[in-house]
Amino acid sequence: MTHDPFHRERGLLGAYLLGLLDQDEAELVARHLRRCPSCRQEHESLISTSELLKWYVDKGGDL
Amino acid sequence: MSATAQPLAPPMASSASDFIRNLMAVHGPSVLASVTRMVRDRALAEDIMQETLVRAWRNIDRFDPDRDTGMRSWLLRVARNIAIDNFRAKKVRPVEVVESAAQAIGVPDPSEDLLRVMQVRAALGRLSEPQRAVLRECYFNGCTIREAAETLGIPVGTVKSRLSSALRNLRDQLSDLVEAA
Repeated sequence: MTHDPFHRERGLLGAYLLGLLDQDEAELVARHLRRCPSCRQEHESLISTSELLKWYVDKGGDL
Repeated sequence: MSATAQPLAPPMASSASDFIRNLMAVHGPSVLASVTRMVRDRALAEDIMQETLVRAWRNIDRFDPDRDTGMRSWLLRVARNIAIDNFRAKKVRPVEVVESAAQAIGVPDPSEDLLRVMQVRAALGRLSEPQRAVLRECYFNGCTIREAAETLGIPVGTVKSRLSSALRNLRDQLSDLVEAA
């Protein structure tokens, strides 16, 4: 398995966290996160923001 | 002094009701829906709506009738302020028993919720328009990434990277809220 030196997956984290990726691509990101500590850290730092956004939509928030 | 001036009250009253009826027809449904979602109480939302329209009438000078969207957001802003005042007023009422019961089972303070909603909304408003557009299409309108790309006329990869930068932007703006959550 080659390791993408440019962390293309990092650019997918937003769509990944918002549940917008198809299954193949989501799996690609999940695999990358298991072996890349810096992207894992970025992912973790964005989790609560994506949850806040879901909460906002549940509350009827608009954009 | 000759009494040539027409009495002001009747024409004002009549144009006020026209004005309010017109406002209600154009903006009523969406403002009321938004306020109802905010306070989760239809009757209270209707009261807030009524007060909003009264305040709109009092501030008629500040409206440009050609700019309906400006008026709608003004109405929403006034309605939200009234809703928040209402929550604050409720909090000073002696409802210790109810409050402590709510605290015991971890029910969040509704005015805290409302403030948080407003902070998130403000943060979304500060995103760049390209970031807001991808979030709007993909997340709020429920489109797929591919559909958003077609609608916005940008590559699929750009939609994805903008979603990431939008989320990072929100994280940086809302760090206080997110840490408290």
